[in-house]
Amino acid sequence: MHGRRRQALKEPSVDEKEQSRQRVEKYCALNNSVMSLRANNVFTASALDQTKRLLELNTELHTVWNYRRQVFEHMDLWQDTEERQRMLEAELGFLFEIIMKNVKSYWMWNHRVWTLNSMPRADWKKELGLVAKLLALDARNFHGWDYRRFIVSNLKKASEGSSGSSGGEFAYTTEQINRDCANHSAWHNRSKLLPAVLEKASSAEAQKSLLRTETDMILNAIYTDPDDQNAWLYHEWLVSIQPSDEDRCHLLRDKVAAIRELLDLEDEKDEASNKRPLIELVDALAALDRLEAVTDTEKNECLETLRRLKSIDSYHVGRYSDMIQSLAQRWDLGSEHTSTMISQ
Amino acid sequence: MSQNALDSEEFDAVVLGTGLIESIVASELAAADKKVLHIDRNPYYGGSFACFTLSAFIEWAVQHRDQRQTPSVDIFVGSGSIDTESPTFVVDHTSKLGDANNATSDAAERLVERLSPYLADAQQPSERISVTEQLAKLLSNDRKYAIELAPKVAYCRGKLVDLVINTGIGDHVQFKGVEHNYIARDDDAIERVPDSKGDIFASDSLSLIEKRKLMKLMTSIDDDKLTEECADDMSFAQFLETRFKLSGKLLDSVLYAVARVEKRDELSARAGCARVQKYVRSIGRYGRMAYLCAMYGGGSEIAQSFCRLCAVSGGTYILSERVGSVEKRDDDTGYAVQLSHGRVFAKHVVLDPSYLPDSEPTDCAVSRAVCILDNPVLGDDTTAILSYVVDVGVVSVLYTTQATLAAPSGQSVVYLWTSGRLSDTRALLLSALNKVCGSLARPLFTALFETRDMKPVQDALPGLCYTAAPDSTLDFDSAVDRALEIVADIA
Repeated sequence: MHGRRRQALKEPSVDEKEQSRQRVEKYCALNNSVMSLRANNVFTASALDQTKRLLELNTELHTVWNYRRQVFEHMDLWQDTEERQRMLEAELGFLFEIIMKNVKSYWMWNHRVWTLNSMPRADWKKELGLVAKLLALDARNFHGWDYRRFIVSNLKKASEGSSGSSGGEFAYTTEQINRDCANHSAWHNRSKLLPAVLEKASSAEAQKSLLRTETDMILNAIYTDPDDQNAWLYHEWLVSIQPSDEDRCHLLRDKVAAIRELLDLEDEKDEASNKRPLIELVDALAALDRLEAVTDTEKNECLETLRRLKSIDSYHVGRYSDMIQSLAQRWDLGSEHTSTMISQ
Repeated sequence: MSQNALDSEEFDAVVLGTGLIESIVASELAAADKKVLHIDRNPYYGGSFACFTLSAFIEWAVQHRDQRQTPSVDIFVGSGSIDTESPTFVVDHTSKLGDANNATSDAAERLVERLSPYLADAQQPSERISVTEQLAKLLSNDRKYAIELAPKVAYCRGKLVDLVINTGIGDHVQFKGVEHNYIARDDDAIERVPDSKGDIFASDSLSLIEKRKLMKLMTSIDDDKLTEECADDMSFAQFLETRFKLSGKLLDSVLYAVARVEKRDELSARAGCARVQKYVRSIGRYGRMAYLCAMYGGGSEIAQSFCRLCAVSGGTYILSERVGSVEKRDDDTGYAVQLSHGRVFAKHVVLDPSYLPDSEPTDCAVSRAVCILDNPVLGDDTTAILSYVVDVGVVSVLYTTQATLAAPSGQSVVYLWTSGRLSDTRALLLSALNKVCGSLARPLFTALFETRDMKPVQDALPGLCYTAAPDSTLDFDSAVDRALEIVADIA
C-alpha cells in the first residue's frame, strides 16, 4: 500500500524461531500433500479443502490456484447450475477473506475474475461496491483499477443499451483526481474513458468544450506539481487526440507559454527543480516544429535549453547532446554551431 | 469546610483564579510536589475562559463579570435590534432598579426579570413581550448552548496539544477538527483558504500561477533554512512579496488566514515563517486540518482538566471564595492572602490581575461579539474559522455548531473578536457579523463586550506572578507560554 513506512526488522527470539520452524514444517507438509494430489489428478472435496488451506497461507501459488479451478470443474456438482452458483458464491467469500492479506496478488485477482465469469448469476453491482471500498483504502492500486474496468464492462453488457455508465465512471475518476492529483491510475482510467465520452458528445462544440475542460484540468495538475511526469504525459496524449493540427499547435503554444510562466517563477539557485519543465519545453518546441514553422529565436531557445539541461542533469548528458545534434542538423544551423553545443 | 478552617495554613503557592493560565500553573506546581491552594471567586471554573449555558452567560453578565475588566455588556435580542445597532439591554453599573420581583417559576420570565433593570431606554414597553417570547424560545434549549467568554482553538502541533498529551489530560478532553479556514475581504465573497495539495488543485478561486506560488510556499516553508533568507528588518508581508512573489488575494490569505497578523507589517519575516511552518506542520497530524476545537467549550474544559489533575496531585480547591487583600509578610518569606476562610500564607502567589483589589485596566483590550444564529450558515455539524479583513482592521471569527456541542442542532454560535476598545471597534464587529450571516442567517441573540487587560497599580507588591486576560490570538499557545514561564520562575 502506498504511504506506509518501512519498519526495521528485529532479530527474532528463540521462541519466535521455534514457532516459525513449526509453521514452515506445517506449510511444507500441506504443500507436498496438495502437489501429490495434483500429480495424481485427484479432484475431490478433500482436494478443495486442502488447496483452500494452502492458499490461505500463501496466495502466490499460481499452480495451486490453477489446480483448484480444475478441481471445481471436475466435480459432479459443477454441472448443476444452482450448486455451481452456491459453490462460487462461497468462493467469493473465501477470496474476500484473504484479499486483505495481500491486495496485490495477480493470481488472486485472476481467480476472482474466473469465479465471476463462471458464475451463472454474477452480482456486478456488488462487486463494484467492493472495488470502490478497496480503492478508497488505496486509490493507486492498479489491480483495483483493472478489476474496476473489468466489472464496468460486464455491467455494461448486463444492462445492454443503458447509457451513462461511462459517464459515471468518468465522474469517479474526477473525484479521485480531485482528492489526489498525483493518482496516475485515475488519470490512466480517464484516458481510457475519454474517447467514449467525447463520442457521446452531442455536437462538435460540445466536444471542443469537453476537451477544453480536460486541458484546464491537466494544466491545474501541471501548475500544482510540475515535477509530476504523469501530468505532462496526459497533456501529451491530449495533444495527440486533438481533432486537427491547428488545435494541436494551439495546445502546444499554450504549453510553451505555461512553461515559460513556471520558469519565470523559479530562482536561479534552484536549477534542479526546473528539469522537467525544461525537458517538456524542448519536446514542445520540437513537436511544434514538426507541425508549423517556429521562429529562429525559438530554435535557438530550444538548443540553449538543452545546453542548460546538460549542466542540470548529468545522467542524461548523452541524450541531450544527441538531441542537440539531430535538431541542429534538421534546422541546418551549421556544423560549427553544432560542435560548440556538444563540446560544452 | 468550616469558616477559618484554613487560617494560618502555609502553602508553597496560592493561585487566584481558575482561568487557563492559572490552572496550568497550579497543575504543574502540584506535579512538582508543591503544596497548592487554588481559589476562584466565582461559583464556576474557568475564570475569563469560562463557558456557560445561555442563562448562565446572562448571569455572568449581570453578576459575575469584573466591572473594571468588562465595563458593560450590550445584549441584542433578535435581529431587528442588530440592524438598528440599538441593544435590547445594556448591562452596566447604571441599572435602574425595577419593580419588586414578582415571584415566577418560569425560567424565561426569571431571566427577563434579571435583565429588566438594564432595558435600554430606547425599548418600548410593548416590545418587552416579544423579547420575553424570544428569550423563552432560546432558553428551551438552554443546556445545549456552550457559550465561551474567550474562544480559542489549538494548533494540532502546538504547545497546548503537546502539554495535554504529556500530562495525560488528553484522555479526558475531546476535540473536533476545525474543518475549514475562510477569508472574507472587503466586499468579496467568503472564500475557503486551501491548505493541502488536493485543496489547491481543486480550488476555483486561485489562478494557475497562484496555485504554483502557493504550492512552492507550502513545500519550502517546511525547510528550516528558509529563515536564513529573511533579512532582519524585513516584514513577513515583504518577504512573501519578494521571495514568493505573492500579491493580492493570495498574499492576504497567507498573511491573515494562515500567519494571522492583525496589521499588515507587524510580523517579522522570521516570525512569519515560523507561524506558517507551525500551521503547515499541524496539518496531517490528526487529519486534513491545522486546528482542533474542544468539545463543550475549549478553554474552560481544559482549565478544569488541569484543576482536576492538580487536585489529584494534592491541590486544594475553593470556589465562590472572596479574596481580600494580598500582602507581603513581615519576615519576607512570602505573602499573606486574606480569604473568607481565613488568612493563609504562601511563598508564591499567582494571580489573575483582576483579583488584586487595587488593579486597574490598561488601554489594551479585546472587543468581542458572541452571536447565536438561527441557521448553521457555514455548514451544519462543522467547525470553522474565518478572517474578516478590511482597511480598518481584522476580525477573527470562530464558527461552532452542534459538532462541538456548542449549539443545538439547526443553530450556530459565532464568535467574533478583534483588538481594541469596543467604542472603536463596534461597527467593525457588526459589519463582520453581517458578512458571516449574509442572506442566509439571522442573529437570535448577540452580546457585545470588551475585556481589558488589568495591571497592578504603581506601588503594588513586587514578586507576584501575574497571568493575563485572554489575548486576541486564535490559539492557546500564548497562554501556555505564559503559564510555563511562571512555572519556571517558581519551581
